Order: sequence, then C-alpha cells, then structure tokens
Amino acid sequence: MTDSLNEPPRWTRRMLRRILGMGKGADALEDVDSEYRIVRGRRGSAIAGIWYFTQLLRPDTWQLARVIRRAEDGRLTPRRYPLRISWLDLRLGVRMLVKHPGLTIVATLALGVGIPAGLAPGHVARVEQTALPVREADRIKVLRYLDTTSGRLHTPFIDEFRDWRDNLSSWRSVAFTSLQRRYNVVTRDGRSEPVQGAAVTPSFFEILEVPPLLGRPLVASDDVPDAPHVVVIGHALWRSRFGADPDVVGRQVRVGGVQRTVVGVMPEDFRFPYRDELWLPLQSNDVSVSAGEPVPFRRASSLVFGRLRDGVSTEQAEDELAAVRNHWVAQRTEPIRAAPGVDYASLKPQVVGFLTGLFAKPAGAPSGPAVLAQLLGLLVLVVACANVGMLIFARTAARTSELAVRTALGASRRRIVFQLFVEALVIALIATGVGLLVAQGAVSQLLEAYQEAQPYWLDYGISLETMLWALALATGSAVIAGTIPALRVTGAGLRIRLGRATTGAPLRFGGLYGVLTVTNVALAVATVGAGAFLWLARPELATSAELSPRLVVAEVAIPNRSVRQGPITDDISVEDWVRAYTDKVLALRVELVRRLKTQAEIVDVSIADVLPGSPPNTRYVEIEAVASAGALGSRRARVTHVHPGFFEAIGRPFLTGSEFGAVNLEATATSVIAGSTFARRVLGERNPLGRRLRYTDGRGEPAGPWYEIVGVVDDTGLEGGQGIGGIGEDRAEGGLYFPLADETRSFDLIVRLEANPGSFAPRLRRLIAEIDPTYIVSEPQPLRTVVASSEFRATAPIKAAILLTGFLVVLAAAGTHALMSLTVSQRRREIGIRTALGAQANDITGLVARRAIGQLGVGSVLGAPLAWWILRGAEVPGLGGSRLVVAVVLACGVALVVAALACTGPIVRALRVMPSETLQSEA
Amino acid sequence: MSLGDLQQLSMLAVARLGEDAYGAAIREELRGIAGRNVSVQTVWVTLVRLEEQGLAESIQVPRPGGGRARRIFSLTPSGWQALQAARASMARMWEGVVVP
Repeated sequence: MTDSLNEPPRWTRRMLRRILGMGKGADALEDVDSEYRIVRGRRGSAIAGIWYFTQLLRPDTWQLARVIRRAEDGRLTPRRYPLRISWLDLRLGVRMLVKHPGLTIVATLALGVGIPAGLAPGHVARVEQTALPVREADRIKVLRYLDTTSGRLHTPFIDEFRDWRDNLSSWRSVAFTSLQRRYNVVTRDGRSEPVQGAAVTPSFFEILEVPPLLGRPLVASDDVPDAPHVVVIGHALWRSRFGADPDVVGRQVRVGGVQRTVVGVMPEDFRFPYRDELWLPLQSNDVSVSAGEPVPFRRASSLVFGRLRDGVSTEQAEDELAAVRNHWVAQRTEPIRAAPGVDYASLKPQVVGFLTGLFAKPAGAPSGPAVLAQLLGLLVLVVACANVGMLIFARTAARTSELAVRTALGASRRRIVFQLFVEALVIALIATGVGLLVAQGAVSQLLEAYQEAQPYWLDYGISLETMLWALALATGSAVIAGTIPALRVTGAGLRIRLGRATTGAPLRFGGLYGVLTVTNVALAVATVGAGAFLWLARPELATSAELSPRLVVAEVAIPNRSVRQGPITDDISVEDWVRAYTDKVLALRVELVRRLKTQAEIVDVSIADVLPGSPPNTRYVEIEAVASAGALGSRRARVTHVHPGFFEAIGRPFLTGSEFGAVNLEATATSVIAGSTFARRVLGERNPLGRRLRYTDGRGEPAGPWYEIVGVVDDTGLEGGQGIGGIGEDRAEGGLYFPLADETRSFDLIVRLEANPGSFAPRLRRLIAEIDPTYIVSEPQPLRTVVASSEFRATAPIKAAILLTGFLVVLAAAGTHALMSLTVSQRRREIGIRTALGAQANDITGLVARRAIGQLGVGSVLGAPLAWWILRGAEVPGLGGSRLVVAVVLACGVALVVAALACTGPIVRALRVMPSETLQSEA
Repeated sequence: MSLGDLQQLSMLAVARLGEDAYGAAIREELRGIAGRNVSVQTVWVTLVRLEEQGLAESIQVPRPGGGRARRIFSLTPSGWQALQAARASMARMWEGVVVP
C-alpha cells in the first residue's frame, strides 16, 4: 500500500485544516490523521473516509479550534482587555482619513451613495406600512377589480357599487370617493382658488369614524336628488378662507360654480384620502354619476373602500364580493358597458389593504419593480462596500510592516482587526451622515414635486428608525470594508512577514477579490448598458429655455352646467343637438379669449387641449400619395388641438406656410399644421404644403376626413417630459396641430403678458371669475416652470441612472487601480528580475494586466444579460432591438476604457522598474 | 488545584507513554487502559487546557522515518504535583470506606 493511499481524503483534510488552523491546530490534525489510518486499517477506506468527514461536523473539533486559537492569542497577549472603541481608536481612524485623502473621498462618496441606496427601498416600504390615522385602521379595505387578462386594475361601476353597498353583509359600510379632484372655491371676498377635494358618498364619514370639529359630516339626506347643496370643509381651508370663523357652519361658498352651504369643518389631522380640503356629496356633484351612467374605467381616479365587520377575514369578504357581483350580473337586463378593450367577464373582484388600493399596487407580496428596486439598492451598497473594501485592503496591505511591528509588540490579531474595523467605521459613519443629508434633500425635493399625490398621514422624512437602520448599515459596511481586508492581511502570513518585515512577502488577493472585481465590472457594465439604453430611448425634448418667461399657463374647465341644453326630442336630430352643444362650447372659448385679450397687461391669449407634460394623444395618420412621391404609409403623430393664433401667442415661428385662420373654428375645418420634426421625418425634403393626411386606425383603414397641411412650425417645446412623441413603443414621429373645433371643455389657457408674471397669477383667476365665476381655474404658473417640472419628472430617473452609472464606473476604476498598484509594488522584485533576464515591455504588461483583463472580460460577459434583466425588471417599454445592442456594446466599450484608465498608471510604473535598482535595494 | 476526571486520566496517560505521548497515542491509552472512548479532539482540548494551566507542556519532535513532526506532551513539575495531590486526596477519601 502506498503512502498516498494512507493519506486521508484531501478535500476534507483541507477543510479540517482551515478549521483547526496552523501551529498546534496542525499538530492536532496530524493526530486525527493517525486515527484515520487506524480506522482505515480496521474498517476499510470507505468507512474511514466517512469517519474522517464526520470529524468536520463534530462539536469537539470546533471546540478544539477555539481552545487552540485562544491559547495562541493568549501567548502573544498574556493579559486580555475587552475590546471597546476608545478615543485613541477614533483618533487613529481620523488620522488615517487625513493621511489618505483620496481614499477618504472615494470611500465617503461610495458609501454616501451606497448606504442611502440600500436604505431607500426599505424606508419607503416602512413608511407605506403606516396605518391610517383612524380607529381600527386594519379593518378598512379597498374593493376593486383586477383584469385577469391584462393585469390592470379597475374601479367598479357606480351602480354596481350601490348594489355592493346594499347587499354586502361582511362590511359595516362601503363608500365611493373620487380621487385628486380640484374645485374652484370662490368665497364672499371674491377670492377664487382651486382646492383639492373629493366627491364622496356619505358613508365615507361613517367608515372613517372621525367626528367633525364643527357642525356635522355628510349624511344620507345629502345624497338624495334635489337635496340642498352642501359641503364639508377641511381645517386649513377653514382657517385660510374663513378666518377660522367659529360660526362658519351655515355660511355660503361657491364650489365649482355651485353655491353650497358649509355644514361641517373637519379637524386639522383629517385630509382624507390624499390632502383634501373639502368633501361634497357625490350624487349631487357629479353629473355623469347622478345620471346613473357607469363611471368610466380609469385607473385610480376613484376608489371604493369600506370597513369590514369584526371577525370577517379578507378572504371571506372577497368570496362574498364575488358572489354578490355574479348575482348582480345575472340580474342585469341591459348590457354592461366596459371601457374599450376590457372584457367585463375577465374582471375579478379583489379586497386589498387601503394603501395598496390607493396606490393601485398589485395585491400580495411585492413583485417586479419593487423587488428589483430593493435588490438593486442592496446590490449598490454591497458593491460600494466591496470597492471600499478593496481600497482599504490595498491601504492595509501597504501597512504590513507596521502591523507586523505592532504584532511583535504584543498586539493580538483581534486587536489589530478591531483597529482596522474602527478606521472603516469612521469612514462609514461620515458617509452615512453625508448620505442621510443628501437623502433628506432628495426627499424634500420629491415631496414638493409630488406633494398632492402623497397621502397626508405618510411622512417620508428621515425617521429615527431609518437613522438606526443607517447606523446598522454603516456598521455592516465597516465589517465588510474593514474587517474582511483586515482578516486577510493579518492572516497566517503576517508572522512570516514579521520575520522579514523590511522586504514583505507579497499578499495574495485570493478568490474573494477576484469575485468582487468581476461583480464590480459586471454591475458597471449592466448599469452603463441600462443607462445608455434609457438615454437612447429617452423622450426627445424641445428645450423649455426657448419659451418666453412672460408666458403663463392655467388649466380651465367649463362646467357642464354652463352649456347645459334641452333634451334630444323628435324635433332635433342627435347631430344637430351635438352641433348646437359644440357651438355653445366654442362660443364660450372664443369669448373667454376675446375678453382676456382686452386686458391691458395681456398681449396675447390662446388655447390648447393637451397640457404640457401630459401623456401625449398619439394617433396614426396616413399621408396621401402624390404623383411625385409614393405612399408613405401610416405614421404615428402626437396630436394637439389648438386655437387659431396659438403659435403667435407662444412665439413659435413658422418655417413655411401660416397659422390657422378664424375659419378653422368651424367643425368642418380641414387644415393641419405640422411640427418641424414630423415634417422632417415623414416628408423629408419634400414640400409639405398642400400635402393631405388623415387619421387611420393603425391597420391602415381610414378613420376620418383628409386634412391639408397649411404650415410647418418649429416644435413648440410644450411637450415637456413626455417628449415630442412619447416614449417606447408609442413613440411618435413628431407633432401635428389640428384646429380646436370640438366640444372640449377642459383646456390649457396660455397667456402672453406685457411684463414678467410677478403677481399676475391671482389676477388672472379674478379676471376669469369676472367673465364667468363657474369656470374652474388651476393655479396659473409660468409656462417655462410647468414644462421644466414635467421635464424634470420625466428625466429624473434617467439622470439618476446615469449618475449611478458614473458612480459605479468611477468606483470600479478606483478599486481596480488600487489592486493593480498594489500588485506592481509587491512584484517589483519579480519584475526587476524578469526585466534583467530580457523580458520585453509586452511581457511585463501582460504579467501585470493579465489577471485584471481576464476579470474585466468575465465581468463584461456577465454584465450584458444583467443589463437586459434590470431593464426588463423595471418594465422599461420598447425593450430590445438595435438600441439595446448599441447600449450593451457601449457599456463593454466603457468597461474597456475604465480598464485602460485603471491599468495605465500601474503598468507605466511596472515598465519603469529598473532591475539594477530593485536588486540593489533587495540586497 | 483540583483536577477533573478526564484531566487526571490524560495526565496519567502522558506519564505512562513518556516520549510517545502524542494525541492519538494518549487517546488509545485512555481507550485501552481506562476504557474511556473519547475522540482525539477531546484529548487535545484537555491537553491544551492543561498547558494553559501550566500542568503540561509540549514540544514538536521529528518522526524517526521523516514526515511531519509530532507534538509530544509531558508533565511539568506543577503537573506532577497536582497529579500526586489528586491521588493523595483520593486515597484519603478511600480510607475507612468499606465496600459492601
């Protein structure tokens, strides 16, 4: 039997050796090996192999490892002190920060971004778990439909809701509320301002069980036809518009053109469901609802919610809801009119938590983008830690001699590791402070941009809990970035280096740092790829800077009652009735523009139907074939309807042709103006004037009359963040402008002023109120601000992605550079000898860069699919195609550039190594 | 210093084995003579603790046929003293005891 057959299984032995360590541990392992040979001789190699493996699992093996380690540490440090962070540790940590400012800056930035990124998803999730500020908030649930075919969510029909209200026994009560509506409130002093409010069923107040501060809530008698018009107002509105008058109940106020009596004031901490300040009975307020028509299927424009009875589970409530709904469908005689493309049969009733319903989130565990955000946040943190770890490792490795001397002076390994941990902790704590400040700033910005869409009881500010989490993450980061490198550097080789502290045996980075570098590069490639794709697929923005600062925009809505006309009778056809209605609306719009134009400070006024930054109305159009040019097929265009004089009002020049004339206010108007991008992309060099186009249904079938292009105008710059033609698959070729000749009652009023707006905003509302007080007018704002804020909302994620990308790339470069530099400094002797033996520059470059290039290659290969996965997880539209390929190639190119930048310095230093000097110094 | 049962037995095994007192041999001695079937790791834990208490010491001794050196344990004077004290106290305890 050969000696090798007597040897225990190699892999198991390696593991045991790792556990027991060197010194006495190795001696003990020899004895275990002797035992193995005895067992093998008695019971055969198979049993002996199993026996040997079980030694890994035995508690006494681990106990022995602990005892030996303690004994050996004790030999170096006879007296042991408990490890506490002392002022000296902190001072040493701060001194290292000052001594290595580059590392301090990179590490602070890395962790300053990484810690908030790791923190943010959990913070948002925690905030969104805040219970409603009402009694037994967990019993309040939302009732809704899930379209099982498309995965989209829907609110129920209003008459279906009434059936639920009357027949559901699992609920104490159910209510219907509109969401995020604005009503023009005109008080006795003539002030007219829009206020966010909700049209609700009276059960709304029964469910929430919050008593009013003054007066009463809405009650059932407010919800019957011909009931007096009443309103309940919020505390802030009561104070700002009624001077906190204790006798406000019974006073009159004009809300959305209707004179109403204030019947109650809600307390200060009640602004349900978002940040609402008034509540109207739904029945008398909403014309479409009171007529018994189904509410159009719109995502989160309204909400049905209720309070479950005690002891009823969500599942029981859902089952009952399905049964009641089936009964309602079976009883119905007339067909159910669902929204286009929605099959009523595929709608499944759901009962979900209140915030899940309010934010229209999917039921159940978070999935898709939410999980991805969580993962990416943590990934960014881990990568930041890993890179900082690499930098600290490089710095620590350069301090080997210092550590060896400290060991010789009696410092235990534990003590040295702890000191290095404290150094990393100091960096992590500073970074956490910076990160939290940045996060607080970002949260304030976002809250200001989206204030009205935040439910009032959610506080996204940095809470104490989040700060504690941040401290925990900082400590965790210090463990990863400080302790792991410290353990590696102070490992078994330190004592060997102690023997020759001046020369220092080279430290091997090991597989861990190889894996980290590959992960680093893969993530950098993935984020660069994803960022590049988002950039390539970004909306095309016409710059808002070209818009005059004297332009002001306000959203105006003409209430239905202002144009109400008699019913359709036998004496009048439907077409004539519609025509008469449209003419009325048209006349009101023209009159509004005319009256405003007479004001001294107003230079020009016009109207458009699509608000800046609103989702674009894109339609397919077909360009008529002419003899000189063949058919151009169906193209997608962003369609806007504008009042004559619109382009002059906003100051956009015509490249060719002219404005619509007044005749284009006729419903039979057949003129169209093309935006410059549309004309360039679709018609190229051809003369657009006189060319005709018409709507098609996307399959090429005509869907309207022909329109003639009468002019080409420079792109308006009003598209905001949605871009000239939207994004993704709905991307249009550019803008087309049709005359606003239909019955649109809600539109954008654009006013050009004599001077900068200043305090003109309230005056514009007063002017409109003088023309007709029933008109609802939003807060007038400079057009530039509206477009810029829309651009900000659309481009902020892209900018954030690009910022993150840049951050990761810099970090990857810094980490790789640090390790490469260390490699060169540790291999100077080897490089010197090789050069002396005739190695060429190529050989030296290969020697230094081979490993890094291999890791970059593997990272790039892994990064490409990761980029695709990130984009797919984030549900980015229009994924795939040539843009993705370009993005990934670009990302790999960036990785190569990063590699080149990171490797150049160390390679140059390696090539400058002079063999004679190196060998002389070694001697 | 009072000694535990396994400590006493291990020290006796070290004393019996003399220059061959390495882990596996001590374990065999405990199993064959004292009938104590303990693992070699447990023996090592006991010996390292005895070393910490200053009752035993160890050195690495090269093997005759080459190969890795073995750690051979021996008792220190304090160890001999402690062992004798344990034996004496045990003897005193036995005095006057009549086994039925």
